[in-house]
Formats: sequence, structure tokens, C-alpha cells
Amino acid sequence: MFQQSVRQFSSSAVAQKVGCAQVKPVHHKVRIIKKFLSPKYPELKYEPHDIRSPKYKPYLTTPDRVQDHYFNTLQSDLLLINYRHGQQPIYGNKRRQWDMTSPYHLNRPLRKPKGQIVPSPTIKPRTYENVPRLEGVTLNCFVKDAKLYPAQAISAALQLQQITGCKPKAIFAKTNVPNWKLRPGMKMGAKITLHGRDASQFISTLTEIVLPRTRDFYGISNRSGDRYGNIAFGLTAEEVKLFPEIENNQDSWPQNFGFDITLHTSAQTDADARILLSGLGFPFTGSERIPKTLLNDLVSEEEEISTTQQ
Amino acid sequence: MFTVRSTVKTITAHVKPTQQLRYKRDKAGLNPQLERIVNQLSVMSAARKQPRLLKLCDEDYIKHRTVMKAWSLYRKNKIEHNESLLEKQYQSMNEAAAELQSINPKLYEIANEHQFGKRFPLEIRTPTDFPPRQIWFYDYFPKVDGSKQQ
Amino acid sequence: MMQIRQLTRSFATATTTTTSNIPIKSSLILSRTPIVTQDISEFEKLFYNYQEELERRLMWTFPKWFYFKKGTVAEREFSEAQNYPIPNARGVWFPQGNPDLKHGRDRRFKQEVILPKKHIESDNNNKEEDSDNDFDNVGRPIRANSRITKFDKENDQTSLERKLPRTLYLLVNQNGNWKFPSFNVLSENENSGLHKIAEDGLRIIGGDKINTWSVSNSPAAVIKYDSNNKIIHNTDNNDQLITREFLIKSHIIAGKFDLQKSNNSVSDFKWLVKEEIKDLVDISYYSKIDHLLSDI
Repeated sequence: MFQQSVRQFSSSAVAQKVGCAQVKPVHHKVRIIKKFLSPKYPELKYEPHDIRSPKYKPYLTTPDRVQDHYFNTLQSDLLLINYRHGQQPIYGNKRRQWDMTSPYHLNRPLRKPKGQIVPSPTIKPRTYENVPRLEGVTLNCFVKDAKLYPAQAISAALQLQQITGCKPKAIFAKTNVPNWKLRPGMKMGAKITLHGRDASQFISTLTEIVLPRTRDFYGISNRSGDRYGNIAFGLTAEEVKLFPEIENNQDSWPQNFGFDITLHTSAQTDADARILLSGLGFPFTGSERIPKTLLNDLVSEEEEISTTQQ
Repeated sequence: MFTVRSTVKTITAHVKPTQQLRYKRDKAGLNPQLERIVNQLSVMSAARKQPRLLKLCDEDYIKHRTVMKAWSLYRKNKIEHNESLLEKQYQSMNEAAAELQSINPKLYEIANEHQFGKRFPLEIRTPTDFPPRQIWFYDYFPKVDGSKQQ
Repeated sequence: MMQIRQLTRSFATATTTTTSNIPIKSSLILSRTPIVTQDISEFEKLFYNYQEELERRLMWTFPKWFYFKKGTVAEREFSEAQNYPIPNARGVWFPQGNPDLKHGRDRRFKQEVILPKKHIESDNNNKEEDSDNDFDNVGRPIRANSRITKFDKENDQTSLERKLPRTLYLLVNQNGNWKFPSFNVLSENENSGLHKIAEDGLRIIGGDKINTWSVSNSPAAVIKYDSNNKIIHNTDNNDQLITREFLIKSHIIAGKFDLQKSNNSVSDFKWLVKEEIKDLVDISYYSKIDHLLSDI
């Protein structure tokens, strides 16, 4: 397989290299999970989706009506709404090459993009392959008072668990603010990321039961969004009380905690994401601001003529 | 992450117990606030709530594998069919736009406007398992100023 | 730069002179989206049942102490409704293995949580009907409406309340052909766009008590007819007499399509699902719209 070339020193050396140092003490490149080495628990070696694994959880228990609605009605409509004839990719701001004026530029990681630190993605023309989908929902519940009363972080986690039916993860303070008595490592609340049926269940409760009954809710702000298709909004403690799981068990909830909801979509821009989310039953309010670059994504007339002339 | 032992330890530093906390399992000895926290943690934790592991015999395991394989094939066919439909729809709208551009630039310009700010009406709802009492709203009257259409 | 500008002008003038007499039609695919969830096949039903049984078997024990405070009436009612398994006892032989109870649940099996009787429908039939119609009574028993309506039973194809799990499409009998309603684009209303022409045309033949939402300004497809009103399938036929029919997608939201007597071109209308459309319309027409129609 690895033919030794006469001209090269050694081609097999690279291909047949062992993945770890051979001088003792041996440091393995692949982390070894010791419980897998033991013959005591053979079930642990299975993948979580294997029914023999202790982690197995069946999740295809009911038809998913939000997903069905998306595939039956929304998807083809979204394709037509987002379609523009002659749409061109809008190139993002990418990392730049070094100009090679210095010999140290050789093999150096690429230069930062102009005017920003993280490169921005290229926005491709909308086709049948990239119709926006809802990919997940993140609920993030940060409780300010948890630094004084750590029990509130637990209540917040349980509240998220009750609403979504999934297991939350704890979130911790990252910064040190002596004035607020906040130190890194303090447990400050909980968060969950929902996918699939859990996400569908959550957004149908939200759009059909909770949001229609909240006072003074006119819709998600049209200004919300991270530019690349993720829309976020918040619920206050009063609004959280309207979730049926909380509402029907009020005795256990003397205190509620508001949380932030992020709707992750595969849309390339916020404007596309909003159209998708409006189809899933989220109202939007306020004036919408659309970047100028997005509006001019067609081949300009002059360019077109110059290409035809050639 | 949320364990009884660790949290009781951290919380007791802030909540002053009325009596000495000696037995963590003994709820009767805790003050009501601490008791509630232990109650809440017990809902989230797996302790004493987990069922026994599934033990499938070989035959049952093969049956399960067969069921899941049948399901994945069924899903795959459905998804592929859906994707092919979507592709055809895309080709046909592409064809229509090109045709319109070649014969009537004025209509093409209007048809090819970007649709940002478009919203699905809230009346188009996610289907429910059972219909509402009033299935369809018939008594619709157009608004006088004629601004109803988007 | 100057040259290019001049070129664009000349192009524009050329197109306006040539296009004015090309006949264009705007056609409307008006659909009613499903009202209830789609019917599931027998295989899907069995599969979901299998998965649900597995989920129930692997579910954690219901923490009743969190939902029902000790010593309350609700807790007593709930506890009385449950069927508790027999606990293990010394000296007793269990043929199916020793029970393994924790929190009143046998860990070997799924837990059946039974709601107290008062939350389920009462047995008395007469009482039920009385309280069922009393919509002000919040405590009336919950009873689901039927997914099959009386229009399904009568097979009334002009009704919007038929085939609730499916997408319905409006078809009209226009000049003797069953098809989506289509309207001529006149040169004076070219400024309003194809979607607007189709929507306005719909209100001329079907009355204005209808609320629709057009999906997009751009057409979903084009159908070409030759001078004998036959559909052309090959793409490179650049005859001047070709009529082009652009299909615009739209959804009906409220109101109804009420056929106007004053209009002579349209004689009948139907709300149909995909299979029924296939049986009704011309084969060559169906081959052009097949992929635009929803399977559900």
C-alpha cells in the first residue's frame, strides 16, 4: 500500500506513524475512558441510540405536528418567498492573506478580516437546498438573586425542566464584580437547548397558550436577531406563570423566573428567519431594518450587459 | 450538577437552620425552606426514580433492529420524495422568472422584488389534532380603505 | 460607461415595443391549508405506539410528592386512584420474579399513572350532553370534535370544510376546461404586477368577501399554450402567438369563494385535493402542476 519511492527519504514514516509517543511515560493522543476498558459494564460501550445502552431514550413517540406543518405548507412557500431570479452570493468579510513583505509571513495564520475580528459568512442565493428550518430553541435562565440565595438557581432549573420536560444544565458566573459580590464559579441559573420534538412541543405551547394570553405582548421585536438567523426574545416572570405546567401547580411556585429564548434557524439572514418564524406562529412588531447589501443582491444591469457583450 | 449533598452544603451556609443539621436524609429535621429545595432536587435527580435496565433477548433485539430499519427506510423515502418535489418547484419558478424577464420586463421587475418584511398571517395556524368548533370563518368583509392586502 | 448607458436605453426601448402584444395570463393557485393534522398510516401508528411503550417503560417514577402536598384532599384522591403493585415479602414465591418497588412503582415495568375519576368524563350520558352545550361552563367535559365533517359525508366539493387533514385547491370550470382560475393581463394594469392581477381577477369571479394571502410576487410556474390552446411542452418554441400563463400561489384565510352570476366565463367551481384534481383536469395540464400541489 505504501510504496517506497526511491527519490523520497521515506513515505511510510508519516503514514505508519503511531498516534502516541513511544518513550515512557506514554501520552495517548486519544483520551482513554477507563470504564470502557473494564469488562464489567459491557453496556457502556454501546452508542446512546442503541437500545442496549443505558443511555437509550426513545424520542419518536408521537407525530410532530409543527414539523409536519413545516414540510406540508411552509417549506414550499418559503422557497417561493425567498426566491429571486438572478440572485448573486454576497461575499462575507474573510480572513486576508499576508502581503509577504516579511519572511515571517510564511506559514503565519491568515490576517484578520478588515474591520472585524471574526470573519462573516457568505450569503448564498436561496435555492431548494437552503430553505430555512427551525433547528433548535435555547432557554437561558440567569437569576440575578442567585448570588445571595443559591437555592433560586435550583428553582430556576426545575422551572425549566417542568416547562420543557428535558434536563437543564447549570450556568455559572464568569466574571468577578466585587461591587455586586459576584465571583466566577457561582451557580447562577440554568439553561436548556431543545431539538426536534421537544422544541416543537415547546414552541407550540408558547405560541398557542402562553403568548396569546400575555398582556402587552405585541410580538417579537423586528430589531432582534444576531444577523445570521437566530432570533432571541425574553419572557418575564409574570409571563412564565402562564405555562400550563406552572399554572396548574401554582402552590409549588411561590416565585417564578423569567428567561431568554433563542430561536435557532438555518436561515442565512435575520429577515429570512423572521419570515420562517412568522409561519410557525410568532408575531413580529416594530420597524424592520434590512442591511443595504442584502437589498442589492441581483446582478446589476450594467454588469449583465457587459457580460453579454463579451 | 444539581446534587442534594453539594447544594445542601452550600445553602446551609446562607440559610441558618433552626437546629443542627445532622442527618441529611431526615427531612423532618430540616426547616421548611430547605425541605422545599430537597423536594425540588428530588424531582430533577435520577436517584430512586430510575427503572431497571432493559434486558432484551437476542430475538427481541433483532426485532427491534428490524423495526428501526423499516422506519428509517420509510422516513428516507419520504424525505427524498419531498426533496425532489422541492427541486422541481425551484426549477419551475426559475423557468417562469426567466420567461417573464424575456417577454415583459415591467412585470418581471415587480415579480422579482425582494420579499423582506413578508409575514405569514397568524390565521394560518399549525394544524391541531381535532378541528375547532367553528371550522371556517365565512363572514369576512373587506376593509373599506382597501388596504387589507399585503 | 457612456456606451453602456446608451446600450441599456436601446435595450429597454426594444423590449417595450416587442412585448406589448405578447398575450400573458395570470393564474391563481388558491389553497386552503390543512386544519387538522395529517392522517397517519397504519405502520406509523404501530411504530409510534411501540416507541411510546418503550418510553413509558424507561421513564422515571412520577414524583407525586412534588405535585400533591402530603395530607391534602388532592393527594388522597390521587393515591386512591392508583393501582399499587404488590410489594416483595419474605417467604412468598413470585412466579414472575421478585417485585422491585421504589416509590410505589415496580421498577421492572412501566408505571401507570391514573388520574382521579372526576377529571375524566362522567358516565351519565344525558348529563354530558347538557353540560357539553353549555359553553359558559368552564368545567364541562372535554370532548374532541370529529375530524370528519358533514360535508365529507355528503361529498360536497364546493365546501371549504371538507377533507380537513388535506390541502384543498380551488378549481374553476373556465370556458369548458377545469383549471385554476386565470385572468388576462392587459397592458393598462401591467403596473400592478401579476399577483395583484390574479387577486383582483379572483374577486371579480368570486365576490370580494374573501380574504387571501398571496405567497409571493413571483410566479411559481409558467404554462405555455399555442394558438389552438394546446399546452406546449418543449421549451425552445419562440412563436409570437404563444400565450403564457403564470401561476401565482395564494392561501385563502377567511371568507368564501362565491361564484358571481354576472360572469359568463366561469360556470362552476370546486375545492379539491391533489388526487381529485388528477382525475378532473386534462393530463397535459396536470403534468405541469403536479409538483406544485401538496401531497398532504
